[in-house]
Amino acid sequence: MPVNEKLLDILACPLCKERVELKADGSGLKCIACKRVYPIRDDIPVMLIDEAVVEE
Amino acid sequence: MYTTSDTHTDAAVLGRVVALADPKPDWKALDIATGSGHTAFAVSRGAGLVIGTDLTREMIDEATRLRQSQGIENVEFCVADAHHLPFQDCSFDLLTCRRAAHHFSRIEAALHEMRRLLKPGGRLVIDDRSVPEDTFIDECMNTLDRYHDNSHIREYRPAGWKRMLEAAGFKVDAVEPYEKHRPLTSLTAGVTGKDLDLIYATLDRLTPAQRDAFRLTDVDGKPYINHWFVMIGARA
Repeated sequence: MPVNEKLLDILACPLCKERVELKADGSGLKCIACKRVYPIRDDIPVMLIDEAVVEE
Repeated sequence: MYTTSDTHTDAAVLGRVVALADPKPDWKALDIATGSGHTAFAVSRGAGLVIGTDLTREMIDEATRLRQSQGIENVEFCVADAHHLPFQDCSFDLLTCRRAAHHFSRIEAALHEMRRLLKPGGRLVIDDRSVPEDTFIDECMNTLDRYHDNSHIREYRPAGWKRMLEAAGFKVDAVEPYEKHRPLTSLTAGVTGKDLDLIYATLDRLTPAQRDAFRLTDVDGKPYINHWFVMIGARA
């Protein structure tokens, strides 16, 4: 089951609180401001700052 | 309002959380540190959508399994830290947080996040371990609980909760302390070595009056000790 759209609508970067966008391949959620990508593992967003990778 | 353990089964406490929350069908709710999701599931019977967060993936996986087995369709989960919650401002009508705040390393930061996430007038319901308004019992209980579980940070007095919530910008509607008389094994289970010795040494040092305050008595031949809790209802 993919990540629920209503959850995607309100998720934000836990660090800068800006919106996050689903990556095209569905592998993570990318912050529109700081470019951190939070992984989605087995359909569960892992929104931990320490787990994020900055992707320019 | 203090009541005895007899009236505070887990089901009764969860019922009180839902009564204070009073979720509505068009509400979005967040259950912080959801564990295996029981509070999220209870709130979901009245709310439109409930999000459950937990710091550990293992708890989220357990909650996801329970969601599936119970056929619940309006609860979603993600892994998140209560001190850095991953949601936009004013996203929720209701926040719940049960039996978790005493593990938060920076309670003010967590309360600031809760306040940020609630819509104006949105509700917050917290249920947590607590201590009475007595300095000795406060310090001693917190010490015992740290020996029991080194992830224990602090359980707060009811008045402390009210003060912290008001400082974070909440209006506090209800502060309801309650107690449970529990087997001493609830404090010693899983504890070994030096920490177990320290629990018994701490209890052995108590005066008769202090033992009474902790309700250290035998029930059916087994030692019991008091645990204090608090239920809180507040609004943004």
